[in-house]
Amino acid sequence: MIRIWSAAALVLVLAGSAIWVTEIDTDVRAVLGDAGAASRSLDTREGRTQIIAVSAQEAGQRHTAVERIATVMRSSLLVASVSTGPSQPEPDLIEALWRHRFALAPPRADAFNTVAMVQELTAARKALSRLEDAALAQYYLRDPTGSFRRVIDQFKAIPRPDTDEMGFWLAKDGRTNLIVADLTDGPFDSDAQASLDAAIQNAADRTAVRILGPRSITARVSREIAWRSQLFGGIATALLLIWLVILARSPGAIFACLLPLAAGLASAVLVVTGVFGGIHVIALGFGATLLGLAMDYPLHLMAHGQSEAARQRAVRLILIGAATTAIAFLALTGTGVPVLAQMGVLVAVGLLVSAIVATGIAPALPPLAPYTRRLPIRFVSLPNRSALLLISVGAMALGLFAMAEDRKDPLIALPPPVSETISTFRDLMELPSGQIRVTTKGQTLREIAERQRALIPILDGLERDGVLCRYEMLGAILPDAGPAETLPTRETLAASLPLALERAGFKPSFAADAIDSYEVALKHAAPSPAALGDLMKNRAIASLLHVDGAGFVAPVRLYNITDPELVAKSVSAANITGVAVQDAKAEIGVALDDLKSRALAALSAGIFVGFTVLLILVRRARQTARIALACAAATVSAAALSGAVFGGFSIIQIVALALIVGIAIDYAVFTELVGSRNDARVALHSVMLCAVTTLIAFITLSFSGVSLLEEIGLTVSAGVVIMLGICMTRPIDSPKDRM
Amino acid sequence: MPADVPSLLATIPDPEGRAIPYREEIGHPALAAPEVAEGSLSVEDGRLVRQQRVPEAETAVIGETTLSLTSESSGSKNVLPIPAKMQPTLRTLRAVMTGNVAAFLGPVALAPAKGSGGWTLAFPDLDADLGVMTVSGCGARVRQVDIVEATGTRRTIHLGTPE
Repeated sequence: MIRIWSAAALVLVLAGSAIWVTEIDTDVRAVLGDAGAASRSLDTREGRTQIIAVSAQEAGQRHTAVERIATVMRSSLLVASVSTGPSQPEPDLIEALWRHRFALAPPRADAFNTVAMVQELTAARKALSRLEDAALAQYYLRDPTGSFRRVIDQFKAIPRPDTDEMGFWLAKDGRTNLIVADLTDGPFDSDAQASLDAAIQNAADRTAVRILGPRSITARVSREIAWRSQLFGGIATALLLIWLVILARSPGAIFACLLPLAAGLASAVLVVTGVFGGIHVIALGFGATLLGLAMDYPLHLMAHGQSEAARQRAVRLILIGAATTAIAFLALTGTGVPVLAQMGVLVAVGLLVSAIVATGIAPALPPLAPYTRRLPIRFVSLPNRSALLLISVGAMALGLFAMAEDRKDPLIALPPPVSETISTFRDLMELPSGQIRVTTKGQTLREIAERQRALIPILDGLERDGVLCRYEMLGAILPDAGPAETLPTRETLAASLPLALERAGFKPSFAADAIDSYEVALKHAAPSPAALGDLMKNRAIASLLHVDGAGFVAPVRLYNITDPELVAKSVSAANITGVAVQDAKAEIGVALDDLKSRALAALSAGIFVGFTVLLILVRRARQTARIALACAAATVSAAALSGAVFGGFSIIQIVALALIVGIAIDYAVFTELVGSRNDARVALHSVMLCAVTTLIAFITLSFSGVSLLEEIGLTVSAGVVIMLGICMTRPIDSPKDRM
Repeated sequence: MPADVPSLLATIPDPEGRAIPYREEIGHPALAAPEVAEGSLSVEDGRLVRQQRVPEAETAVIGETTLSLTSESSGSKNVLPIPAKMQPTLRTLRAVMTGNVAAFLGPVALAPAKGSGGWTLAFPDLDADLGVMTVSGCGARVRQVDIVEATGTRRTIHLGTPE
C-alpha cells in the first residue's frame, strides 16, 4: 500500500502545483498560429469594429437600451468610440477639410471664370438660409471656386445606415437600432471581450440585443469551445469511472487506476505551462483524450495480474509502447502551431509519467474482476496476413491519394448561434466582405483616385451581374478634377474676383479675405500623407483612406458578394497599377496547407524515430516490422475512412492520426510481442478492455458539438476499432515471437 | 407689460398647429445686402416646424437634438443632429414659441420696449460662441427674434404678417 500512498502524495503535489500555476488560454487564434490570416484580421480597423443591434417593437424602449449600452461601452477601456447615430463633424475635421480642399476637390480650370464664381458665391449665400449648411456657410462664402462645398457634398454622399426621427441608426427592418463602435488598438483578449459583450447584454433592458464583430465572434467561439470541452471532458470522465467500477468493483482498485492518469495529466499540464507560459483550452480538452490512453496502463497491468512473470512482461511492454508513442507525439512541437505543439508535449509527458507511475504501483494493483475473463476472445485466422495488411495499406493509401483534394470548410465551424447572428445582420444591414479585400496604394490622393476610378467599370459590371450589391471607395467619392493643371496665382484671382463678388451681391472689401483663404488652400494643395492625419480621425474617412509610410492605402469596400472568387479574378485580371486584391479565405487555406505539410513532416519524422527506438528496445526486426505494418494498416485505413466521411483531409485529421499511431503502437506491442496461445489471449483480452476504455473517451468527444473535437473523436474511434480487428488476426503459437 | 417672463409667455397663444409667417434677414459682413428667407413656423407635437419657401423650399422639423430636413426640390429626407452652435438658439426659439420657460438656458432679462405694451427678452449668455439673442414683441405677440452670431452673422426673424 505504501506505493499507492506515495503515488497519491505525488499526484497531490503535482495537481496542486498545476492548479496554482496554470493559466488557461481560450484564444482561438492559437489554432492557426503565427501564420494565421485570421490572427492579423483581428488587429485591423475592420477587426476592431463592433456592431450592436437592439431590437424591440417600441422605439422608446430601443432608444433607452441604446443609450444604456452606449454608456456601458463608453466606460469600457476596450472601446475607443461609440456611435449611436450621425454626429456633427468635429471643428478640427472641418478645418482640415477646409485647409486641404484643393487636394480633395481640386478646382477645374473653368472654376475661375467670372460666371462660374458668381454662381458659386450665389449658392454660398443661399447656404446661410439652410439649417443644414448654416454653420458651414462662412466657409462657402470665402471659397469662390466651390471646392469646399463639393468636398462637403461628396462626404455627405458616403452611404450610412438610415436614421430614425430621434437620430439613432436604424436597420432595414425598421424596428432595430444599431450601435457602431471601434475597439481600442490593443491585443485581443478573449476574456475581456466576453466580459464586455456580457455587460452589453445586461444593459439590453427588455430588448433583443445581438452583437457582431470579428473580436466578439472570436471570443464567443472560444467560450463555446471552452465550455463544450469542459462539459464533454466531464462526461467522458464520468463514463470512464463507471467503466472502471464495472472492471474493478473495488474503490481501492479504481483509486489506484486513476493515480497514473492523474499524475500524468498534472505533470503534463505543468510542463506545458512551463514551456508555453499557459495551456490552451483545446490542448487541455485534448488532455481528456489522454484519459483514454493513460488508463490503458493500469488496465494492462491488472489484466496481466495472474502471475508475476506476466506482470513483468506487461511493465516492459508498457514502457516500450509509452516511449515510442511519446517520441511520435513530441514531433508535433515542430509544427509551429501553438495548440498542436502543446498537444504534443501534453501527450508525450502525460503518457510517460502515467506509464512510470503505473509500473511503479504495479505490484499493488489488484487483478480484474473475475467475470471480465469471460469476455468472448477469438482470434481470426487470416492466411497471408502480412501480405493482406500490406495490400490494404497500399489500397487505402491509393484511396487517400485519390481524395487528395483539400477541404474547403473552415478549421473550426462557427457554432449555430453565431452563424444565425451573422445571417440576421445580413438582413439588417449591408455588410462589407471580410473575405475579399481590394486595396489601392498611391503617393498622392489624385493617384489613389485615378487608380480606383479605373476599377469602377469592372465593379459596375459585377454589380450589374448581381455578383456584388454595391461598393465604396474614395475614388468614387472625390470629385473628378480632370487633368492635373496648375492653379491660378493669388494675383490672377485678385484680378477677376472683385467683379464676381459685386455681381453676387458681396462687398468689394471681402475680396481680400477670400484671396487670403485661397492662398492658404494653394499652400496645402499637395499635402504629404502625414499632413492629412487629422482627416483620418473621422470614422467614415478612415474606413476609406489610411496613411502607409510615405504613401496612402485606400481600401475598396465591397458589399454582399455572391461569388468572391469571380470578384478576385476580375479585379486581378484588370492588372491596375497599385491595386491589389486579397482573398482572406484562400490565404487561410494556403496557411493551413502549409501547416498540414509541416504537421505531416513532423509526424512522419516522429514515427520514424519512434520505430527506430522500438527496434532498439525490442531488438527484433521482424517483430518491429510487423508492429509497424499493423500500425500503418490501422492508421491509413482510419485516414481513408475519415477522409471519405469528412470530404477531404485536414490538419485536424492528422492530429487524430497521430493519436491512432500511439494507440496502435500500444496495442500492437502487446499483441505482437507474445507467442503462446495463453499469453496472446491475455494480451488480446487486455487490449480489448483498453479499446473499450479508449472508445468511451473518443466517442464522447465526437458528440461534443465542436467540429474540431468531433473529427478527432470519430477518426480515432475508427482507428481503434480497425486496430482491434487487426490484433484479432494476429497469428499465435509462434515461439519466435516470444519476448 | 407682464411682470415676469412666465406671465409674459402665458399670455402668448399656443401656436400648436398654427402657421406663423416669418421673414428672416441674414446679414453677413461679406454681403452688401442681407440674404432673405421666407416661410412659416409652427409647432406640431411639441416640435418646431420651419417651412421655408424662399430662397429654397425646405421643411425642417426641429426636435430636441435632431433636425429632420426635407428638401422640396429633391424630395430627399435627412435626419441629422443639430449643429452644436445652433442648439441654444433653436432650443430657445422653440421654448419661446411654446411658452416653455423651463427650457431656457441661462438668465433671461425682461425689459419694456418702445410702444405701448412692447417688451424685450434678452438672452445674453446662450453660448460663448453664439453671441446674443433677443426676442421682442408686443402684448401677447412675439414680433421679432434677433441673433448676433460670434462670426458676425446677424439674423433677424420677423414673425407674423407684416403690418
